[in-house]
Amino acid sequence: MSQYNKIIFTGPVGAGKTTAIASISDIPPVSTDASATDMTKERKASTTVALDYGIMNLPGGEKIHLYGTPGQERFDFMWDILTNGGIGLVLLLDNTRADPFQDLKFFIQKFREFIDATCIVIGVTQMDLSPKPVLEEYHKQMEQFGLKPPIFEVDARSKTDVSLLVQALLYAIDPVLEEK
Amino acid sequence: MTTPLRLAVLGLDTRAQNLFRMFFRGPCLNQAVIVDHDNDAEAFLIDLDTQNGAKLFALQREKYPNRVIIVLSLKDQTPIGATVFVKKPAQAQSMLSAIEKTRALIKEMDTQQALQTRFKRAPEPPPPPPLETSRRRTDNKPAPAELPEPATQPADAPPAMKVVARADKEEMATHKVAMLLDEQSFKSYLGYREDIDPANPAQLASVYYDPKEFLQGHIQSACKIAFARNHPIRLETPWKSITILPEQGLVHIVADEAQIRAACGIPFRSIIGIDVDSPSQQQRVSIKPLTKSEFEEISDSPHLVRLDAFLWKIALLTSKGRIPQGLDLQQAFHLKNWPSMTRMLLPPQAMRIAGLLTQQPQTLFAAAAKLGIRQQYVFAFISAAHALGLTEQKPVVIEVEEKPEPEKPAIQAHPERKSLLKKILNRLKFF
Ligand SMILES: Nc1nc2c(ncn2[C@@H]2O[C@H](COP(=O)(O)OP(=O)(O)OP(=O)(O)O)[C@@H](O)[C@H]2O)c(=O)[nH]1
Ligand SMILES: [Mg+2]
Repeated sequence: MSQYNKIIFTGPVGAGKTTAIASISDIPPVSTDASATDMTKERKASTTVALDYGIMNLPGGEKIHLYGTPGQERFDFMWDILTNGGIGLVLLLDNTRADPFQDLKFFIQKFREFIDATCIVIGVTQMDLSPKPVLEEYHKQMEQFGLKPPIFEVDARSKTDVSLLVQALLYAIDPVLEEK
Repeated sequence: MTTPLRLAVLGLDTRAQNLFRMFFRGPCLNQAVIVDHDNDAEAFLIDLDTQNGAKLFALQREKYPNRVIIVLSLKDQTPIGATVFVKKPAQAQSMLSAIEKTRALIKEMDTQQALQTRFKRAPEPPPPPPLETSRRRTDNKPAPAELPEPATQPADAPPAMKVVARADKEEMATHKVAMLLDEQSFKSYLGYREDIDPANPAQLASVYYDPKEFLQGHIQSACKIAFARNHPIRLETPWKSITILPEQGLVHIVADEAQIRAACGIPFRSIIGIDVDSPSQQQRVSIKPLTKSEFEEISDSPHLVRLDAFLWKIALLTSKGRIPQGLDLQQAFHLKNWPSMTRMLLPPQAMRIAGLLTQQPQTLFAAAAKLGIRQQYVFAFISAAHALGLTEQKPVVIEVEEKPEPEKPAIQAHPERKSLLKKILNRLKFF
């Protein structure tokens, strides 16, 4: 098994994966954005076609690798390789999408094995643009999967939001974890 | 990528300065640079231990009251004003953390200034929340409408709520701001309560309070009505009027943090007659549906805040780490869902408490013991979560022997993973 040092960000096109990784990465995120074509075109100017990559430097020289999956679902062949050695999953969902619950279901199912072996947190983005559905409904949706993850309203552009979301991931893995 | 923090140094000779330049460039990952002129600097770095270190500090503080100063010393120091202390010999880690703290302080002060200007036209400008008590006393008078803190409060005027975290956007400020009460500010706002012995009935009784005796109770009943009717409701109190918009999940209130905190801290009957806004001393509390024009008046007011975050905060501030009557401390507590913590006022250790109580129902005493934290924090958290309907009570399951934690025990078996997670956490707390 590869090293335990990755955090995986996933979610549909435009959910804020690239932005979230940029928010907490110590290096400018390496992103392979390209002009959006076909399906994504109406939504945004550029989309990630391969992976997002960022690093968080830890004292002692250790690094945490932050990976973002490409939003376009057709690239999902890479996901298995990606999750190997992952600490946990950050799922970002865009509240302005036509059916965010459909997205939720899709990603939970895709990553089910990884989630069961590790942990998941969910950040719902763009709630400033579309306040509905509310988080309570997301919690309700999660019941069908028997999961009770932290679900936060997140603006991927806010370092604080992204940081709190990832902190929640770590505490969901181990609440007893002390800070020092 | 962050640009290096520009620091002007005082009290360091050229050689020491050069050392620091290298130190910043290398071990400190280029997170700070030394600049020659005060005007180019975002913050200052002072060695207090040099012969005239203290004098330099005082001068600089006077000259630039609003600038952050990183203070180096061999002795633990808490110098006045916006300062960040680094104990010598400075290690990369402590310096990095000081740099991050400095950035946060600068940001925080910018926000305060921005907020001040934003709210200038509002009827009651909030006092600029200063960074710490000592500054407040010299720089700010308390807001006129502020209520006296109850007697149980520490004598020191508590500092206004410290905004540790904030949104990066200029938006409806109150919507976006997540706030974090660290242990220090929790204590100064909400006081200190000793842990209690669950077997001692007197101690147990002392930890309960009745929300109905506080503003909290009035707000909660107004909410109930608003939701039952699914119609905006205005709660008129001798203190302020509070408007609840159930459909939008918003509340309208013209009050700053310090005012809200003060109003929550004293029994509701004591609020009557104190408020300078309504010298007529209308004793009555009324609840009435909002008219269409009243609704339109406030519909894009900057004083609209999220209802869930508001109810959470009111409960937290009123409870001060006590427990609302009706909850049974002898029973196990279960957190149904995680609250949206990016938008709530967080008591110390909130994430750990949430993590533990969503995973496994247990008494709050057991939770505090397991986390190694004060009961007061757990009680405060639960009071707030209860106000949002997020808690459930269950009979305590007699544990037939320490059974293994049901969920994700894997991490416990990997001390090296655990230590990695801790490092990530410490890194994340910088943001
Ligand atoms: N208004 C608003 N904009 C947001 C929020 N979160 C992210 N954004 C913006 O949404 C846009 C899309 O974010 P990206 O980071 O490119 O999304 P992505 O998930 O990487 O998208 P793909 O690479 O196409 O899969 C960016 O312009 C962000 O700045 C939010 O909470 N509110
Ligand atoms: Mg992207």
